[in-house]
Amino acid sequence: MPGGSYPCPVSDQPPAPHEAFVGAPRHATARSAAPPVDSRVQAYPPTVPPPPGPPVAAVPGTLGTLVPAPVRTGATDPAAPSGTRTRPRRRRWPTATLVLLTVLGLAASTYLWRTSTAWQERSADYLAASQDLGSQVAATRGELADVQAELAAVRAQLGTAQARIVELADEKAQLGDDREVQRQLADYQERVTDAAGRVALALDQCVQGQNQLIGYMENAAQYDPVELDQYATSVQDLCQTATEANTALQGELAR
Amino acid sequence: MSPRPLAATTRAAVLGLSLGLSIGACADVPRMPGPAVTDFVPSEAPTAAPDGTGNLSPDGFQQAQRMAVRIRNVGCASLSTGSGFAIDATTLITNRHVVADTAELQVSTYDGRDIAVTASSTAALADLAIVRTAAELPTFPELAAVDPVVGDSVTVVGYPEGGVLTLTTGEVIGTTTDPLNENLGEVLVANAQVEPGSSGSAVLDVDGHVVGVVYAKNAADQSYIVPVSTLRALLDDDGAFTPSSSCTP
Repeated sequence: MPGGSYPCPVSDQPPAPHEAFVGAPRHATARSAAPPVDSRVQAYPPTVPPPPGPPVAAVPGTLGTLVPAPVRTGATDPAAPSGTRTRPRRRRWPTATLVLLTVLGLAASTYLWRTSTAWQERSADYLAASQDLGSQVAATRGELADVQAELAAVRAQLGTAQARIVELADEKAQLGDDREVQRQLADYQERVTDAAGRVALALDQCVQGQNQLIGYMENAAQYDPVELDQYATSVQDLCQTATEANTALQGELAR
Repeated sequence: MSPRPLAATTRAAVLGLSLGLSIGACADVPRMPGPAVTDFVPSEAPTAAPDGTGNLSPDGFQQAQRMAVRIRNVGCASLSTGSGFAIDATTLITNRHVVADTAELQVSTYDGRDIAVTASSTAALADLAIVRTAAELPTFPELAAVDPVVGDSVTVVGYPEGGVLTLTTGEVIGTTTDPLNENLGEVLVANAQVEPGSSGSAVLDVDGHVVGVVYAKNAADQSYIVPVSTLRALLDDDGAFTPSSSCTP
């Protein structure tokens, strides 16, 4: 309910008609103590009010004595001069009240009709909007399901790609290890080959020198002994070089 | 003069009028609709909480994987591999024995990229070494503020046996003095499985912070870990790391 509800002001309710007289000295006078009279009579009161009754001797602090009020018919007033009949004046305020209530009712009905119409229109607008939003939600849900399916597929592909990347990185690392091992092996073989070549060369020179020295020694008388000794020392150096080269080769082979 | 009593019709009319006015005054009377709401979509869309299965790195790899590196120690007549991890853009942490007697250090990342090494230095008081790289590393984690305690879950990320990048999990099961006498002070013992080649692997806590560095294992498949407090102390000491020696052919 738009605007919320407001508490109804209970204290503003008009008091019951009889409560207006609570505490009033109903027994103080004969009029106030008069019994209820007929509404029809009350609706057409006499034009001339009745004379007041005799005074009541009231004892202070006590209630007075009830004195019945004279019954008025309204047709004729006994106290009125004889021969004069007063026409009862019709009261207009009940009619006015009824008209007022009717107007108020019509106004309220009009207001409620307009309010109802406005709310119906608003409800129709909101229903259309909600249906549009519902259509959008349904479409979005469908798209979401598609996207989630694609996401799951992409995640699976990503996982596969990641696993493949890790595998490729490992394969590359292993190839790098193998490359380094092969490079070290090639370096080793190169060193061994070089050492073996140096050994072979030194041995060849040693053998050739020794063969030459043997030939010189067979005809030693033809040569200067000092020069023969020098040559023999040179051949020995060559053979020593061959020995050292062989030692180096053995060292490389041992690595 | 006392008021006259009201007639029944009058009382009824007054009562009806009062009731009518009261009803009119009450707020339960329907109100006209206010301004129509035309925008039903909130200006700020609700943000969905991450389900924890996604990876936020540029290539989908976890940070633990992205920070790990494989170190190849090409010696004069030998070849060995180890693991390491970045602590900043161009600095790696690994073990001293991983970079010992090297002729050349070769570093590769989780995705197989090779990163050139510019220098390496080793610590004398712990089995730790620092490796500097020429290019920037993919990412680097934070060092934990304190050492883990017994019962804490840990994750070891490295290259066991020089193979694929592997993450293993376990718990810290105690502390002990270094059985290899490589480290000063106590080291951590964990049940996370490691292998030769895992040396230098980062040990991470549940938040991804580095809490230690793997450096050895025993026959019971328990791993020994240099605690992060030791790593921090050595990093804070300018003289703790000295240039590593190369092998002689």
